[in-house]
Amino acid sequence: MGDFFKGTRFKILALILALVLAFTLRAAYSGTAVPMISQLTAWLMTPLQRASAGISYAVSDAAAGLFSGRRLAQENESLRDENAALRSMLVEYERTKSENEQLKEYLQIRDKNPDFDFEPAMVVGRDTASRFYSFTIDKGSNDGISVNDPVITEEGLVGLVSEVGFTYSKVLTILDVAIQVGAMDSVTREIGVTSGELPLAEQGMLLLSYLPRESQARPGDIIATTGIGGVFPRDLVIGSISELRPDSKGLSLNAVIQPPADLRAVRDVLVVKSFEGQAAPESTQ
Amino acid sequence: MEQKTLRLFLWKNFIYTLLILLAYLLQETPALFPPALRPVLVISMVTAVAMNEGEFSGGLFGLFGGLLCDTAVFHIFGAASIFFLVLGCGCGLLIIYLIQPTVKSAFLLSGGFALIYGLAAHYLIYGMWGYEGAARLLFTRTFPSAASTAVFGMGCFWLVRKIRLAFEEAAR
Repeated sequence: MGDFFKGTRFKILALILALVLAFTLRAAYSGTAVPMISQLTAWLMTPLQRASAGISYAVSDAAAGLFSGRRLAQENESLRDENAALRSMLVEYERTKSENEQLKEYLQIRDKNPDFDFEPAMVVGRDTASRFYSFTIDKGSNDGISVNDPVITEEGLVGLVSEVGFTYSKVLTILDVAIQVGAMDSVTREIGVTSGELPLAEQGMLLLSYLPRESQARPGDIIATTGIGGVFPRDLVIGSISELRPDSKGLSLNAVIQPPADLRAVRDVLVVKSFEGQAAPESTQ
Repeated sequence: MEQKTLRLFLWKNFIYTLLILLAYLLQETPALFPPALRPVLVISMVTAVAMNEGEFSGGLFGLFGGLLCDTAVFHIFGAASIFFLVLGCGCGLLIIYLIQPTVKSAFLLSGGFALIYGLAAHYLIYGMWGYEGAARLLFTRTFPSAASTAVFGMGCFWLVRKIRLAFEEAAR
């Protein structure tokens, strides 16, 4: 093995390693700044990721449609032939229907929140190392997206943009321990803070802390954003209370929150680029 | 280098590049694998290339795979590049000096590297910050992911070996 360490190949690899290390230290030092090489790689990869994600979604939708068709065929033997013909049409119909419903819901969100300037985006990648279901979307600074922009679906809040490239953005979900959101019980109007917790994140849930010990909150209450701080718009649904429990010191109540949509499998999102009451970018850092 | 040999060399490395690209795309595609069993396919492919082509190619293809992974992960840019470069180079050296290049070795090396990668990521992202319940993730995510990476490692090794042998045959 000594020959290898004396050879030219080892020197080339060592030089490359030193260069990458320098890039890494620069990236760590500059915090959120993304090196040019990462931007370039992501710019090349985003269209491919978009295509592979699209194929994957289409295949899983088709499989779901097929299983549903089989069950119906068993229940209705006399209509088996007809079902077989309809099954292939069903996949296309479901896709079109889903797109139609999504567009309608986007319009509803726009009607309800005329101050929102948003950008529809598709989830094209999921980090294999993340346990909080962080994901990458196919829109970036070219589409006007900035760091700290809220990410929503028609059902409620999803997360926050943490990093932006030209053609992609990385999103941390509200299941992440790094994301804290000012939240309010829509029934009792009591205020708390939601954040992620590892065991809950695995089940797609999060924690609402700092509710008063004598809180009147009940399971089923809807929890929404307060809008305080200007990072998230006011009155976005975060989820509903599924369980209440005292905190470890018994000083306040914590609530386990079930988001309305499964954040572990979200596919299409909206990035809110601006809204009424949004804080200036430097104050949200 | 003869023109034919050079042409074959370039084609072979182009195919390896495409394979790593494909592995990355499959690995990152949402809804393709259940979250608990998501393999790190780039590790399987880089290991297979390093086992067949040696430490230098292994290191360079490892760097390429690492750069791809760095665009998707949420930790510091460059960390995956460094890990994959060292992985590719180390794997090539292990095959030259210590281990037979067999399908069983591919299973063990892919799984072993995925386990080291998973444990390092787990420690840096969760362990060192003391998150409650972090240890459970080792059993629900890190170990199953390493196991599925090991399984795919066998397939990747078989595929890359077929490609290498086909090019060696063509060169004769």
